[in-house]
Amino acid sequence: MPNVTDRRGFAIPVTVLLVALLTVMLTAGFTRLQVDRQIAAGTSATQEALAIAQSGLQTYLGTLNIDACVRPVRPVDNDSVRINVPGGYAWVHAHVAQKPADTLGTWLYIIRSTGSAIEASIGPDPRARRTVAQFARWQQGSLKMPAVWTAAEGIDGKQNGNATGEFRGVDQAPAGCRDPDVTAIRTPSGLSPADLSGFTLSGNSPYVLAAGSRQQVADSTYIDWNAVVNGGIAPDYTSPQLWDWTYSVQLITGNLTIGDPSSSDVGTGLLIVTGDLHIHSAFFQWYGAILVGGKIHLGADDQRFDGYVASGLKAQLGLSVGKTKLGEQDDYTDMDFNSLFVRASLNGLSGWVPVGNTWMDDWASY
Amino acid sequence: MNRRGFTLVELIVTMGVVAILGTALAKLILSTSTFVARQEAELDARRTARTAHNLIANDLRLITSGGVFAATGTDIQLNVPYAWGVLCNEAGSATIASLMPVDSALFATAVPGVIFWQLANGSYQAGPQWPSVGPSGNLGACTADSVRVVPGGQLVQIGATGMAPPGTIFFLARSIRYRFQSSSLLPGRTGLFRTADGLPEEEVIAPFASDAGFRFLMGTQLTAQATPPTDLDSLQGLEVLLFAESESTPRGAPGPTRFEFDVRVKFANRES
Repeated sequence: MPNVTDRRGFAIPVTVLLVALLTVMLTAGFTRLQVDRQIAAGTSATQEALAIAQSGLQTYLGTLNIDACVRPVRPVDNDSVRINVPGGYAWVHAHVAQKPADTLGTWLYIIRSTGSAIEASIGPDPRARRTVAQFARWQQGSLKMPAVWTAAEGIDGKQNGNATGEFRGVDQAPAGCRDPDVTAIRTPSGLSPADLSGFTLSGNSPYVLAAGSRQQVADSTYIDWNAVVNGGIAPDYTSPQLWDWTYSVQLITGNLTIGDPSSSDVGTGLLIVTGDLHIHSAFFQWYGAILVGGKIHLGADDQRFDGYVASGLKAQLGLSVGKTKLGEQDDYTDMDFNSLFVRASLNGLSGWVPVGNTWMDDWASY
Repeated sequence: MNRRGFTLVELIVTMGVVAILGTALAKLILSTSTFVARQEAELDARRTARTAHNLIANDLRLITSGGVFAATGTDIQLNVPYAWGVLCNEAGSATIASLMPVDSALFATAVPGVIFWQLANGSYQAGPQWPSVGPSGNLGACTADSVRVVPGGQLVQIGATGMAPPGTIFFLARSIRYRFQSSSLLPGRTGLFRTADGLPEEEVIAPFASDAGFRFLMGTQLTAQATPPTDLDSLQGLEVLLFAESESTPRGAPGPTRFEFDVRVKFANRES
């Protein structure tokens, strides 16, 4: 028998060689694939950082800070906020680019947001960063209020002997948040209510100021009614929102009728009616500001306005408008000036307004 | 010498086994080699598409109105914003401006092909071409209109006047052209060429399939169409058909590997 252990074969070297060859080829292939995957992952992280930056920017632009008196707080120059979002965080910085000399003018800011994509399993170091920027103007809603009820259409005096009510030009906001008092009623010359017996009036003297034309009274509100009726305001709603406590902006085109003789209707915010406002409720109360293009039909048994009311504003455009009648029946009408509710109703018009077509990607960080 | 040799049968059997194993191994090696070659070809094509995408998408994203001023299915000419700021007052034959922070490397090398400023409706109007832009120390021209230089920003003078009132937002844009045409790097194939800042045209990357090119996104639904609209300002974005190919034909394949990368870029600053 031959001693097989003495034989020197070639199977093992050849096998080793082949396995090595195959390993090298496959390793080379998979290494290149891996590099490609890493590039793809890096691109994905950069895209994620971009999304985070954009999310931070949008969140910042949608934020409105208000103080204890519900006044919107204008962001300070170099305002800096960290906003956490799923997958990372964004640092948002706001810098004043233009501060107009006109104190009521809107300030122009440049807002940049740097997004950092974080992978929790890897650690706190961002996988990618990306910066975006946007010009935006800081806008603050405001109303000039000549009286708690500025009735440019004029008011017919008490129609019913038992009608009562109150017009208070003294600010009913909490102490420390009050604005200067205003007149109780402002009408055009010769169009003020002749009979106000049974009504309590307070505020700046004279309580009833009747002067100028309808158009002049409407102009005294400094409301640009032409802009209001032609798309100058972006409302939250285009129908009245009763029993809603969000102080939204509600723009109703044409006439509006609220309630019926058995309903109790309460609302908040800025209610704009381009036509006439008819109130038919048993009980009606509004917290905020009401702007009416035509007249107001005060038809509720008990109607209370806490904030500010302006009517007959389409007189500003030279359009005719009939007079509002006060105390048409045995009812109660109460209008109280309250700057807090007015501010709350205007906050929907305050905040950041991004300047269109001014978005920048990969902005330099500093 | 007590060893015995192999018998004929042993030899034949051994040779048969070796032949079978050898054939199987050869097939395995060939198969692996083909697999690797195809993978490499696909990676090659994908890399080509991605490189082109990284370049084009960044340029296209910031386009404003007037940003696309000539276009065909394979050729687009763009004004690409690279810096922006707020105009201040004029001083002599120049307009002073507050420039927002920029990418310093890009700003140092970019040549402004045109200046755009914003109109009240949010669109942009183009000003003089190839305006000169240089540093300025005339801060008074800006503070007169309460325009500030933000941290990291700079004051510049633009060699043009009569543009827009102080406080107007403007862009400085580079003139850039992309087109797919016959490659000079790989004759017989299609390459992507780029011209920027008035410099000679250069071939960025190749090869692409002959049907690579551009389609035009219209309307709010971003509907793609093959031909450019008459009014290029109505464009809402571009679809870039980055149909890349591998440089070589992998073994066993009828032709170069094709990788279809279809990128839609909406112009971020094109809403009016």
